[in-house]
Amino acid sequence: MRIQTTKSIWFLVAAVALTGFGCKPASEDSTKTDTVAGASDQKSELLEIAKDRKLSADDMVSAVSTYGAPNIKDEFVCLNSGGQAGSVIAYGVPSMRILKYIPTAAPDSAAGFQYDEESKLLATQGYIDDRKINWGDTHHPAYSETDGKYDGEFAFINDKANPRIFVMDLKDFETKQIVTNPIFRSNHGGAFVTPNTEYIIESAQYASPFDHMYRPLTQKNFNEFFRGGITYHKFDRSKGRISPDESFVIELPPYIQDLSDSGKMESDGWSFTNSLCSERYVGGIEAGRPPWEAGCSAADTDFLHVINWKKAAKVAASGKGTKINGYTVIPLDLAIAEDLIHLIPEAKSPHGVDVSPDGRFIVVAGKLDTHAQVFDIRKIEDLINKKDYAGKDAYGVPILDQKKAMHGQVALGLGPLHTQFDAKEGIAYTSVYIDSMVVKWDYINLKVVDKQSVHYNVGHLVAMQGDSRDPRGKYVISLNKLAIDRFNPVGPLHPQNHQLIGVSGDKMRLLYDLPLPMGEPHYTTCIDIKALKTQDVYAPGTNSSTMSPSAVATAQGEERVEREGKVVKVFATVSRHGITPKQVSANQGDTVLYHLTNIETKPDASVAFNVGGYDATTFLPPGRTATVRVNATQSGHFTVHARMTDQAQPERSFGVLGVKPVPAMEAARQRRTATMEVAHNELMTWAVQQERAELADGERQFVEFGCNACHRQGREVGGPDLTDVTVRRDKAWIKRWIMGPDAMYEDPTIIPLIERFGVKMPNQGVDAANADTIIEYLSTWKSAGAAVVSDDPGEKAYAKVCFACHTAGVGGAPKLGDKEAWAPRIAKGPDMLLKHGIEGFKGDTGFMPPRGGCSDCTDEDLKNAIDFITSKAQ
Amino acid sequence: MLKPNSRSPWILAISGLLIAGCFSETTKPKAKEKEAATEVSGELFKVAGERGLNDDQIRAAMQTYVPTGARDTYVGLMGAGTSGRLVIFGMPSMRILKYAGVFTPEPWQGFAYDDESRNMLRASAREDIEYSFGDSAAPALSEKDGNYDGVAAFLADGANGRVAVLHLDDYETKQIVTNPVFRSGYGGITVTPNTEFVVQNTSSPDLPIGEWAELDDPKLASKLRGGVTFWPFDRGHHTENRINESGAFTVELPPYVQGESDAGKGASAGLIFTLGFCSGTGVVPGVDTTCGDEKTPAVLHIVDIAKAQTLAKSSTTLHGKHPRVKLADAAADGALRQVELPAGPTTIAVSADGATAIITHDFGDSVSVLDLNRLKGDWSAAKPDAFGVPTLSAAAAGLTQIKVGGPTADVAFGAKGNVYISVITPGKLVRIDLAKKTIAGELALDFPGGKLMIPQADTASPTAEYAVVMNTQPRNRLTSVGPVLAMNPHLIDISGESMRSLSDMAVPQATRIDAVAIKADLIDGGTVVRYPPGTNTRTGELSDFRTAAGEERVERKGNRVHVFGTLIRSHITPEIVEVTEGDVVTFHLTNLEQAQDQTHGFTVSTYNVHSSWEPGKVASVTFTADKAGVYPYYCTEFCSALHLEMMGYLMVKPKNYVETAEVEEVATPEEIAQAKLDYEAKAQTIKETQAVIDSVVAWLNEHEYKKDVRAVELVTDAVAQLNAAAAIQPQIDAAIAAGDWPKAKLWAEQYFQYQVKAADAGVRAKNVMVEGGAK
Repeated sequence: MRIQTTKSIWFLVAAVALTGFGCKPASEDSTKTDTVAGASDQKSELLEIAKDRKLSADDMVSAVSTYGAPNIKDEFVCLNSGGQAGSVIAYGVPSMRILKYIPTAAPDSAAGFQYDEESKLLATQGYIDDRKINWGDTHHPAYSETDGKYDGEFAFINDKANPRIFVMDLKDFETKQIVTNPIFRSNHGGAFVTPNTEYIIESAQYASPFDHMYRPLTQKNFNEFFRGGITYHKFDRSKGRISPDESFVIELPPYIQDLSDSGKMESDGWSFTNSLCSERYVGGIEAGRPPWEAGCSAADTDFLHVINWKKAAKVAASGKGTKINGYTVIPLDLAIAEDLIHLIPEAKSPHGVDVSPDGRFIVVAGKLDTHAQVFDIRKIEDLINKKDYAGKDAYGVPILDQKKAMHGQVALGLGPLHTQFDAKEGIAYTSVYIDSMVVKWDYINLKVVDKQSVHYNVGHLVAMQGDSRDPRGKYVISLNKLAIDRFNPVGPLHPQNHQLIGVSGDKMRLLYDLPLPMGEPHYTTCIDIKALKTQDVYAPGTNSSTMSPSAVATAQGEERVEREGKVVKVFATVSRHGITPKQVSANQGDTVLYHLTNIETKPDASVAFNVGGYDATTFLPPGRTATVRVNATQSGHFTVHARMTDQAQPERSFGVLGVKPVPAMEAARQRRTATMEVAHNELMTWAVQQERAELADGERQFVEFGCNACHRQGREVGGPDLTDVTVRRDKAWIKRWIMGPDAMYEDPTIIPLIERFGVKMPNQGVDAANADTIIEYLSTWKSAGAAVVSDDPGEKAYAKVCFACHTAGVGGAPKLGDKEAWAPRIAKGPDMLLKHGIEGFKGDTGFMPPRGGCSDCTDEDLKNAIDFITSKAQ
Repeated sequence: MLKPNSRSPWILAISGLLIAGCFSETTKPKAKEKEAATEVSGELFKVAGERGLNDDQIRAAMQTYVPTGARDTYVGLMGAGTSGRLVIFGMPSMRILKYAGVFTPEPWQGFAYDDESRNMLRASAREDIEYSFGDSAAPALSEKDGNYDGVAAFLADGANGRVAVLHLDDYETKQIVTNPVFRSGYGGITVTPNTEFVVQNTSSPDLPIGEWAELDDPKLASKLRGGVTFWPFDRGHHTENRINESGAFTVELPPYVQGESDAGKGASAGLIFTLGFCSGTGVVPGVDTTCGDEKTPAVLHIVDIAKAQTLAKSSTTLHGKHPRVKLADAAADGALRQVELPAGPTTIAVSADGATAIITHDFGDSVSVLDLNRLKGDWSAAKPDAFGVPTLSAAAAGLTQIKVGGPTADVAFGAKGNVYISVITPGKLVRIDLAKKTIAGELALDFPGGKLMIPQADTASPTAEYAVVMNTQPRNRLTSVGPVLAMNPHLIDISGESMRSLSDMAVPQATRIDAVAIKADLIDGGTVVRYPPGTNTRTGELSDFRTAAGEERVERKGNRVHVFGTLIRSHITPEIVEVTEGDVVTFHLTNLEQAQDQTHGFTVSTYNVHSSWEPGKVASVTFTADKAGVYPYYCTEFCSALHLEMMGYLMVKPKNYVETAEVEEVATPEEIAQAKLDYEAKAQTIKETQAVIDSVVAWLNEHEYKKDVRAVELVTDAVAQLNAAAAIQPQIDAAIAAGDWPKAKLWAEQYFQYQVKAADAGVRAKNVMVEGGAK
């Protein structure tokens, strides 16, 4: 048996990992430094504050390590994916202040993104199947690189939900290009760049047919028609944009491809992509199949894809590939034939695959393993060159022997997830999800160096420039998925918690907790601010979506209104004098285009613009030109606001758009409004209300007050099965409970139920009359009862009430005839059983109400019933 | 093939963690019980020296740093201009805790992306114009007896004339009402001392909705109006607490430029004070007037709420059912009166006792002080202004001035009668002595003073620790990331005799900044971390579309498809949904979790839908499946180790698709035999894991976990996971009985995954107890 033979080895590894760092006294942890001391009165003031604010000596050091002030600059700027917020978040390190939400996939009214015509046009680049998409699930940002080092020019990020890549220019930290993937239906392993940003890597996540055709989801079809893959987006540095024409896809088996990294230095030319669910499992829990999570974690290893992208680029350029949806694809058989792809078994369900700064080692962290595995490109190349294969997968892809390709592995804890690198050779940091810790370890000598607990459940982590050739160490940030109790509560939706950890010393040290107030960052990448070449204003008249002069820019003194039929074009300037021209007239039914240019030149002299009452807004930093469209469907006066943001008091200068009524237009508008209303109502209604009206009284209340969310007849769904509840409980008690459960949580018969179901029945505000009808309805919830087959007084007494719990085992009650369950109870003796029967009893598994809730049961009845139960359990 | 990773390390590692329990103790910061420092380490000065901190900055760092797990003293709520969101932050750490979606759609929290919140937002449309942004200054908080009660926050949309109601138990927007008289208004808002009314006012003069006048009409000014709108607030059960639109009314103001309002309290209860700029003959937007200089006249509008309400009840000028009280009627009845003010009034604040109002001005070098008790006296000296409103001269009203050395942006009351003024140029924060009418202290700022906030300043209980002056010129104070940068509130310590600068906050995605703040202990206790199972969080009611575990289903009527599904770590039920091209599909999903912070998200590839499901929440997303094909769906919130496997497929069949019989492959005897071995191995793993979990339970019991409320929550979650595992046992038994070993193996794997989730929660339960001092 595989397990038995390997157990002892792994036991040792795990035991060493867990105990080797465990039990040192805390005092050894703190870093001692001898240095100049402050004046003693200063010290006593600081200690006074520390005492007031309950700061430890370590906290005091953390405070000065992270404090930001105008004269104390951040050292790094980190880009974080905004996750479901569809944005990119920039913050400074070590001050941990959020500097910007970069609008990417989702609308951002503060920036005017997807509100003005320029950014709306940009957003159309990201439409898929001609469908408007106004959100995204951004996951992995990457900085552009030159020679394996961040060059501070561009950044990229992927959208997992709608497979796309966004290109940002770091001159203004704004989105400039959106490139859709014409082959995939989702992605994950992007954006990762090659060492000179030749390509931006985007791997698929959930497999789907490349031709986008429908295929019934059988295992056979899944294996045959569903595919994963990797897209290599060609980046044209001179234009600062991706060239789809020169990009290509490599087809892969339908393993769920995951994160990727490109090789560098000695592994330059290779790229690496993880997978999960190499089982190719197809779920279907509604059809009685175990869910995906069960089937995808059944095997012990998944596959690391090793791709020779330089060779693949040549194959793609040679025209040997095929075109799908007009895009170059290297089919799997061609990739195999051209020796482009190899697989290596890797630690189960890995997330990060990360190449060391020198390019030699590839570290894989298996979420469902305890190990991080270190592969060696020299060994991999050697095996590939020798065609030394351990086998082939179902599609004929050669598999390399894991052990032969591996430098070694280290047990780090439960759920290793992602690795980044230190400036010191051989030092890496790996996040460990379930153990909630960051592990510092040596991937060359294969040993753990230090561990730091984090709060809680860390996903990715980032070290400064920690995925480049030029890592800086100093700080690591733990990107925790749960915050739970770290911050003042803000409702059920918690912020994320990014914990800054100082890593300059021997021991890691927790410095700061940063709540992320919007979005769920998955991955972060941090650049030395000295590498950035940001600009603070735009050249006058710039269309910032293209970074080129706008055709509709207006200079001061050239402001004008041009009318073309039903289109009113307002060539306007905005400045600290407000908007010019201030008055614009139009007719109902016209389209009014405000072409706005901010003619201010001083940084921060931005203008927030909107047309009050119309859904029209944008934001203009100095120099920017943007266009706001007003579809003037309604007549009246509309205040035009152009508010300078750099002034303590907003500008009082405002303009007006006068839209003159046109009766025909008004009639058409009213018809359209009515149609919109009808369509909306049709969309949003469903038969639930009607079905409910058809329910009988009692059942209807039961449904309307939400009782059915947790209570079902004959089974437990979140709350007890109420079958026979009116037998078990006194009706007055039930009524009291239904009307005011929150006053009864301490009721001894309720406590075990709360423990059992882990939820307190909420007060649903049921009044007395409705409570009565609900109880009446519940009294129809009856089991068959206990069939009395004899004159035995015990059986008769049992049938009176005991059956209501003990026949089905309601609320943890031992079942009639369950010898194992009754034995310890019977062993207490009949007197004790009777005492519990009369007084009630709370046990480990459930509770017995006094007299089983039967107020008219006599002691004699109970004694007889106990005799009967005992006889059945012998 | 080498398979080096057996399941065993998991068990051993779990046992190592949970039983041995030693490494956690050395590395866990003991946030709860830790000792305050007794000496200052040399390292502090070393680090401070390296980073260039001066002594003031070292002290400021100590005063603002909030260690992991500790709490901020105040919770701030900030309007952020055209972001259309409410920014919630902690003081003194000045960390932003949440951007709550209010007027602008936000996909992370699903705001205006799911049907429930989109319908709520849509209800604020003006017929065919739906709104997707707002422009807000500071919110107001609900009050009881003049103090914040922590129930609700109100945010105005100055651009489109709307008011949003947020509940502070979950920081979600629950209602948006739209002004039926005026299209846009002032970005700020105020409430009366018992939140009888939420009060909104206009900013620029406006033509009431439904009326028309040419822009070049020479009599235009006389046709324009300002206004104050009163929205009654209904208190009640926590799911109520919304504005009652049927009792709302608007009082016309003259067509001046209105600014901030404040509600009277105490001595001045029952009055609303609104600043009016450029009073005189009326202002036409876009026409140059004399508004822009220090000679421009200004007034304070004073509305008597009771009188106005009586007039509203008999008003025949209705916008829908919303009464509008005409200017002439309000002026004649004394419902509206005015006091003349010096030029450029920027803000007004009423003192805690309601006896004094202070008005700041962006012209001149003084602030105005008005004794509100005097307004109860004789108005016979009042003269009608150009619109017939009785108006007292400043002198007749007893208005006095205090010199502060420059134009002023804002005023706030502190504790002990202290009054603070934000001076624009030279930028400074000034404390004035009201009795002596002098400056009592000042702190120079190296930026123009902007809006000013002191926690609870506008209540009967102002505080004494912190002030925040808003800086709108962040350049050179924050690291640059291009032309668009965060805004920069500046935190100041006002607890001592001399005021001291503390720190610079960054607020990204803001185009103006103004805030209020409340003591954290007044609000934190009222927040919730989960909803009653099956809640539509926007209405506060149980959703018609909630789904219990085991009740998942797909219902169809014509081309309308409703999927009633559930979300729980780590699967979406159902996992495969088949529809036909052209179907209108709604996924109504219920998050079955009860564990804190266990949120799930959901999207269908390329169909442009997303929302967020916090524990207990029901939300729905609707789209038209307009193209045949295969569309993965998945959970977008990293929710567990198997988060990536929380997925499914929407299968969209082409129209008129002809089904063909699909032949499924049958497992070979060898595969079945291997599956049996695998099952047995997994069963052994499960058994060993269970033993470990039992020992954990013993550890937790031994350490009286029930005394630690955080541990109880986590143990409850762990137990729920184990119950979920137990619920699978019948599936395993059935598969074994049927000889279906591949299935038995998979269900056993699922059983084990629930055990792992239990261990995850268990590890955290133990960690929080160790953090709390358990050994």
